[in-house]
Amino acid sequence: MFGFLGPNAAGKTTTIRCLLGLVRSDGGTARLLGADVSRDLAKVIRRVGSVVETPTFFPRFSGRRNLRLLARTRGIGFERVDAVLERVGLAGRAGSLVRTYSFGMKQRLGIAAALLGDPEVLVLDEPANGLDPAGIVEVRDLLRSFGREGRTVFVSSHILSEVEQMADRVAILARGECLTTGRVDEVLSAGRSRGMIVRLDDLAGGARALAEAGIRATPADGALRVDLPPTEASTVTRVLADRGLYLTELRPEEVDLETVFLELTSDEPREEASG
Amino acid sequence: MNALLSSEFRRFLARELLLVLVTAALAGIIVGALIAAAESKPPDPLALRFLPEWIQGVSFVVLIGGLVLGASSVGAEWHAGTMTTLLTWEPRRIRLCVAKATACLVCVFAVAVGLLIVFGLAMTLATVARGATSGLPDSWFGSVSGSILRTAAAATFGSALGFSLAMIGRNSAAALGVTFGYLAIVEVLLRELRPEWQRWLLSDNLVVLITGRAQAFAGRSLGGAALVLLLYAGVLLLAAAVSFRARDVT
Repeated sequence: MFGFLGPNAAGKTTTIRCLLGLVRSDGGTARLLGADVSRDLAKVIRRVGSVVETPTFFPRFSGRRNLRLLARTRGIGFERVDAVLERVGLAGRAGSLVRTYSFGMKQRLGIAAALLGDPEVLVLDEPANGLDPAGIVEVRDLLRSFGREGRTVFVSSHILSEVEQMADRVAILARGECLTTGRVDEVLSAGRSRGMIVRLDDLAGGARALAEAGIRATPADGALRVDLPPTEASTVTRVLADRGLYLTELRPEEVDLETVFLELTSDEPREEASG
Repeated sequence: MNALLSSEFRRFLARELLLVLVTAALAGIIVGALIAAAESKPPDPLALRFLPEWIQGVSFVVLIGGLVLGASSVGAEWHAGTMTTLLTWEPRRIRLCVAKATACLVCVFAVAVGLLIVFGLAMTLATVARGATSGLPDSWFGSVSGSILRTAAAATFGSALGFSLAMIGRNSAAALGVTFGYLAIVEVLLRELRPEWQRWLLSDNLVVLITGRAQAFAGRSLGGAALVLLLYAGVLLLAAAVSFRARDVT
């Protein structure tokens, strides 16, 4: 599973539209399953299922009828329609008009449509957007199950905790630029390498001692965040011990995807992130 | 292509607007026939020999129906966003455009023929009941058939016009607005200011097509008018396909 992250207007949906041939890029090359999408998209599109932004269907047709129309486009049997409706939990409402569906049901219908062709790759643009917490959990479980089946799931999102729980690899995008990409643990460790959390009784004295030694330390939740990588832990303990200050806790700063994301996508000058 | 075409035919035939228009047309035919029968009395009873003219009399409504169906067939898809979904299934846009246009034009022609036959039958029944059925010329059946086919062809032209403009403007209302604006303003002005261009105007060629007779004011034969309209429809559909292929879908 690949998480495609970025704030609003970062270019996530535009990138997905480029990949699916809906918009043309000004430059560069987009490849999907090895095919140049500007020339050979039609050769691979049957191996790709996608939902771009909010799924769109005929509101006055039932969910089943909408999917049957799509299935007919590629000669897919109607038994497959029923199977995917069952898979996303819409079998009970398949005969209802789409206009009576909740937002979450429309999202699930969109995912069902993407699954119709039994694709190798699923491209889903913000599939959890607008869902309530229960809906988010449902979609997350569904996406995980697709990954377990061996499908590649490319999911864009700004709900970072969701992506962190699901994705194997991520890319972080801002202002149309890919800031970092890699395995989730690699991206996280790139952030983790920046600091340590130090806890001691005399926080002010500790901060002063570290500052005198040229080490930047800032208060953070009843502790100090030291701007040194965990490999420099001995330096911190030595500086503090030399001044008679003893640690009660020293640990690498835990950085979640949200922290990395915010650091990379903020307008402030940022340090380089590996990945 | 067959699967795509089959899907587009079903998509078109499943449209609620089609059902509404056909239902309204059938209701109108029944009410119209009943009124005509009720109003038929000597010395001026309904006369079956005028059926071709009656068919031509409803041609404007059929033409507008074709225009609206053509425009809405793609305008509604752009409005609802289903065009985006479809393009993620069939990214070959020219192929998709051809399938959609084919389904639209064929269905409009078939529906128009069907409704005009029903109209003809209803008026025949009204005439049999309350009018005069004698004195039909030998060419009557051919004349009726010709009127039906030419009126259906005009409706099909209307659907091509609506389809093309809605595909270019990505909106049904824009297509209808442009068409009515053009017919009500541009052609009226051109007819006044450039009488020599009249033979190239849409409305004049449509009149020739529907009536089946060369009109002195149009300076066109039936075949000539049909060719001009075919040429216009072809150019418009080509422009729609080129626009569809070239523009981003956002």
